[in-house]
Amino acid sequence: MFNENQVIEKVLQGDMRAFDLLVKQYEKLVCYVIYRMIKNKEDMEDVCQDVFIKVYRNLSQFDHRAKLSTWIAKIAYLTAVSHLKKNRQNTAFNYPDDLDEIHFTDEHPEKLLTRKDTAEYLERMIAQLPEKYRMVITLYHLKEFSYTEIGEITGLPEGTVKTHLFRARQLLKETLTAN
Amino acid sequence: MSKISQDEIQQWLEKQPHAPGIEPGAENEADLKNYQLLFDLLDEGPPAELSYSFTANLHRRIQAATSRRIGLKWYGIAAVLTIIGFSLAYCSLLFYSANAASGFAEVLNKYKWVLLFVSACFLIVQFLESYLNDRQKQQLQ
Repeated sequence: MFNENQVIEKVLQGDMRAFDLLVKQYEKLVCYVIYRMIKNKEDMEDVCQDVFIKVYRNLSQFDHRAKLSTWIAKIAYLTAVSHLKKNRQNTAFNYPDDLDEIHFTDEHPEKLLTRKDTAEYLERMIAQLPEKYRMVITLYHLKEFSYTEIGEITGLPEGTVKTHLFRARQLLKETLTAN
Repeated sequence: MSKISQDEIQQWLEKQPHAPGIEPGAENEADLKNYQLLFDLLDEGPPAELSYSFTANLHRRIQAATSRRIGLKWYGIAAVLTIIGFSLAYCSLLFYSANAASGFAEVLNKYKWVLLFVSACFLIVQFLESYLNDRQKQQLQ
């Protein structure tokens, strides 16, 4: 079983095997966060590596006030945001003023579903959501974080996290219903 | 027929025992069915996978960053030791002969730009070497 405190202590002593355990434990979390944030999939692995390098370098600053997973998710989120800013990919996904008026592609879902399965179709729909919606829905469905923790990771108030989650779900359900 | 609210959906998702009853009806049932499908797909997560060499590449990058930091530390120590060495040499000379000490200081003053240039060249060569090594490693990955 993964003993968080023991692993942290060993990593801080320079034990790379313990760090491997830490990577194994949280790679899914980091991978999902980065995948949902970064459009260019070729950059995904590099950014995931950047996240774990930051975790390795800054682990001594982890103060155990939050869960390690929350701390790592926050690093992953901020790394992805900074990558997007650096690569200017984010312009299309910045918060629009008419956030509630967002609708998906005009392409009829039935047409799309004839060539893609539902999961792939849903991923495409998620990719069209605003950045914060994508992040909130990804973190929530990892079944790892509470609303408060998601707020801590994304820097949003708890109420906004809920609103984003509900709105994102509603938008996604609408597209499935349209099918 | 009433539309299901997001709060009701959330409580239904969390299977709370005192969740408000969702009115029966074809529209609501279809909605719940769609939500169930959506939640199942969202719980599965995206089809994201890291390569088999991810951990090995991560180790390599951490090692490269660590050795670069150690290198910088050593250059700093070497610079401080050099300054201390010159100061000690000056003080020793001052102890034996003030003329020799001022001569030493003059020589240092005369060649200060040469010394700085040599040090700067050394640091640039070291930096370029590590930069090219990193690039080569990244290309090999």
